[in-house]
Amino acid sequence: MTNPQSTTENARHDAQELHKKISANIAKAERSTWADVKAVQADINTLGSTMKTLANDQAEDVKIGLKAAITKLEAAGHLVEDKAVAAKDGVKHANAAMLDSAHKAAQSLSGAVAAARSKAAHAIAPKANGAKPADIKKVIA
Amino acid sequence: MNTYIAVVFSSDDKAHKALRKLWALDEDGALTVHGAAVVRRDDMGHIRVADRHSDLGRNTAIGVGIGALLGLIAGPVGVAAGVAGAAALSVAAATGVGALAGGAIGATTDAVKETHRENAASEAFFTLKHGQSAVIAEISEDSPNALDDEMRPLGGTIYRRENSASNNAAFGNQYYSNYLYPYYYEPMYD
Repeated sequence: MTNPQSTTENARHDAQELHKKISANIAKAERSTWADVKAVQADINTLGSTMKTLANDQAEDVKIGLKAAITKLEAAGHLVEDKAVAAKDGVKHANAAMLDSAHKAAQSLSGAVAAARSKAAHAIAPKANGAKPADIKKVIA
Repeated sequence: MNTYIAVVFSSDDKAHKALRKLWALDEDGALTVHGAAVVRRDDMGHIRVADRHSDLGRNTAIGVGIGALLGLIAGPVGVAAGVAGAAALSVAAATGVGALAGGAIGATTDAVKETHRENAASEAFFTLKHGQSAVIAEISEDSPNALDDEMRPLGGTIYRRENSASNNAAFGNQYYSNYLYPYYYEPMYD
């Protein structure tokens, strides 16, 4: 059976990696191309789909954050090359929009992780008074 | 509880160690880090954000954003202004104004936020002295013990401020979140 906690942690990790990848493209500055943008868009769309599934099982406040991030991811995932805009500026704006969406995704997923950890800690606390965080994590896993 | 933290150290080295410890606590599940960065006040008195190696120069022009966050967390004047501003805005919102007046309030809100951010940024300069560094982060923690236990041996002074609707209403939480990395990074300066 899939552990919802692990799924959320994995999705968070994917969002963090996506953020790193886009940051690296931005750092390439003028050498960053539409091919780089399109390569990241595939990851963005995959993450968006994962988050949609995850959102169903979250508390309302977490769900709101996830949905806002999903909207941004979807918009960034559908950015298309605009030939009318100078190629350099187009790539720059696309990278900025994707970085923002990855940032929001990572933040909302860390919110979901925090909520799950807190819930697990409270569930364990009465039975295992004095349990260390590492013990709690073992129980979650 | 969702909290903004600033942990001030006497050196870069200690702040870098603290950033590693913070993410290690996240890895252990003792708390959850939503974003974190290392900042330093240089010899010229400017507050700078340490970038990730590949991002060097990205955060050079920090304006009042990260300074405001540091001031919000640590400074009594900045915080007092933020709370007062939020109260004023709540009163305005409760009067049931029309669209035109609503627009005017919107403009006022922006001006109020700008003032608060500038006040808070000023506070940051009192909190972080020349040559000092700090870890700034947004975290969720069920108890302050885990963070306190790791940071105190490094000699860090810990400041906390609740990530509350009133604080965010007064300052605008989107203003500085881009400075906080959502994962561990090796902090570097240009």
